[in-house]
Amino acid sequence: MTDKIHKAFDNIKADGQLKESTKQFLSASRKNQTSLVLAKRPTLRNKFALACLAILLIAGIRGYLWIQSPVSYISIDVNPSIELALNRFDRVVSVTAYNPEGEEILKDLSLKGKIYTAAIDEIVENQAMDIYITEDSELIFTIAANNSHENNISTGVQRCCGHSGHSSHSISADPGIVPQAHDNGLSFGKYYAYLQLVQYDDTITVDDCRDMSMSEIYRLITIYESNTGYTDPYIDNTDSGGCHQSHGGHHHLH
Amino acid sequence: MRSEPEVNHAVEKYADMIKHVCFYHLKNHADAEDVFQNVFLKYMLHDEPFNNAEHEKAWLLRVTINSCKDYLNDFFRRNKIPLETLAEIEAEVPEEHREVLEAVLSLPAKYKDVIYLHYYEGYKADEIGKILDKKENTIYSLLSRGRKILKEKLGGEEIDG
Repeated sequence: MTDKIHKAFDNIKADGQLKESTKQFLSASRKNQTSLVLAKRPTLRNKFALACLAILLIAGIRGYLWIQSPVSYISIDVNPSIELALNRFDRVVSVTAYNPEGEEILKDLSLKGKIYTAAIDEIVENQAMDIYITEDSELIFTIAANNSHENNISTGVQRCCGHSGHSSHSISADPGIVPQAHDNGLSFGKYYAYLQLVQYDDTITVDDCRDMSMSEIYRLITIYESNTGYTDPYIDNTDSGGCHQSHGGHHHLH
Repeated sequence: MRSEPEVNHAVEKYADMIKHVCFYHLKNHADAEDVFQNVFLKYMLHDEPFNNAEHEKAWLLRVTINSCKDYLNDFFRRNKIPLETLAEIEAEVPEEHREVLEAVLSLPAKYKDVIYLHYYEGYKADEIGKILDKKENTIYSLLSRGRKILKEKLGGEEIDG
């Protein structure tokens, strides 16, 4: 039987014509494949150019991100709460208002890309700010930056305050509180004030502080500090037209 | 991609074997030629080296069987009337061998492969299992049942092996 199956299939042959047409088909397919591969394959020069382009593109994107990433923050709080995020070159990369009053101030201002001193001048000197900066109000600048850079920014802020002629204070805060403040929907300057106040009165909430002006918050802090015998150096300042710097907050936070 | 001399050598060496498999699966020249050429195209584009001639042969058998099944599974082809009938092809085969050939061709597809691979190509059950990606015991069962069907079709003639 095996022999019969063998003999039956032995009669089925691939004839010469089938083999020849197959070889021609394969030869044509080979040429198509080769031309496709050659068309797809970039030349060495193209590869080099593509590699350079890719490197430049990556370097460009990384450079842009590096320049655009904020490294320090200035919170400007009276009743309007405004926060500037600065890059490594002290240029404003983002401006955020944390209450409707802040939004009103920023409405007609274009601050992105400007050096922070110019941005502060534009904010403080804005006509809409006049109703908030009064004899009773507190214009508080809170600075969050790494130690080496903080002094430079503080100096710049003090210079701005001096020119503005308003009573103001600058405080240095731990940059670590910035994300916490944003999570709570406050500028970190106001959040920093809240953290100070809550040390004396743990019934005070973030929401309470959100609706209070900075002068109100610091007035309460002053009262609590007088009762405990501690006086924050900047709260004592009642001079007009000057800017006073405090690092006192660090004592509370660390 | 394999070189032209290598591919042409394979066409000469394995053409009959591939024609057999295409024939018993597809039963018409036009379809068989399509699959036949596609199998060698796959061979030409297959860059992996073969360990030896047996490995190469088993690879070609597996690819041919699978290509035939894929071809038959195509709905439109399955419902197409072949241009050439089996009778015309069988006319090429001498009369004394037609009965056996017809009996093999009339087997259900799952038996045809094992019967051809075992009785014509001389593979053992474990080797057929590797080619068809089936367990050795399954191959024994298929061989046994295929033999039985063939015996009935051939009027009780016993099949050795």
